[in-house]
Amino acid sequence: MSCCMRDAVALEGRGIPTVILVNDVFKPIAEATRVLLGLPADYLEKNIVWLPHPTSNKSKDVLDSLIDERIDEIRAKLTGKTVAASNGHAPSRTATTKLDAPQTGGSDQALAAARAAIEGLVASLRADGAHLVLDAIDGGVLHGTLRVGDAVCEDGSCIMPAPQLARMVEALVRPVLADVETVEIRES
Amino acid sequence: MSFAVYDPRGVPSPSASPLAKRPPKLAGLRIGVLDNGKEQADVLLSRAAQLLKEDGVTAHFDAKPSFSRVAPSEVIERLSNYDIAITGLGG
Repeated sequence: MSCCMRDAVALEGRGIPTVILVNDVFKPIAEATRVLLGLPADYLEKNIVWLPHPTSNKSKDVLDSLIDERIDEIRAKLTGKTVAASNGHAPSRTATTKLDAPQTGGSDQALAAARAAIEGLVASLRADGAHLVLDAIDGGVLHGTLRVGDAVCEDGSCIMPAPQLARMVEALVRPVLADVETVEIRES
Repeated sequence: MSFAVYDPRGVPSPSASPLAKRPPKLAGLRIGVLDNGKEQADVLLSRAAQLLKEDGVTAHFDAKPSFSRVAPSEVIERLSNYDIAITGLGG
């Protein structure tokens, strides 16, 4: 998902308007990537067309129908027009938990808040066969563990590398946790 | 007396990435279709291209070797020759 967005941004930078089809399970990764790449707040709404996850196990007729239902949205986003999301509802916010103000205080509470902030990202990773667990906050460092289980790709290369994932977690956690200065994720 | 306190750490703020200007209409445009290689991404993208053809859009298909990596520079260069683009994945 992150790579698709980076490809789209590369094309946009060359003057090529680009729309991305994305399975909705990847919304948290899309939002984290948006923040990391410095994209506008409305980038996801204007450039991404969401599809219900999963799509890999659907028949061609079902997949064709999914696109048929969204073609007006695709057209609109290629030409910069405003259109409601194809599910009939306004584009939903990402599943990132936001607190009213950055939290400080007890490490258990802070760790719980961090876990809540990345809940959607964890679900996205799980869809690719990886498991991310935040273990502790120690001296301003948020520690986590990434375990690759049955990855959807044979060699596990589809799973985002831990350093890149740490940056994504940082982008999601730092706005809600004042005590977190950096994120370290180890692969197990 | 009150005063504002600013957090010196801030948050990551990479330089903003520019977005391309959108065309007013689709008729006559060429669209680059970038398949990321995930299962059935080609089916979804092909259907979109088929429907856009009815709008007068000509599709040019391309692909990248791995969905877990950004597209090679030569693929981006090829797609840059078109007017608009669509890419995607599945899962």
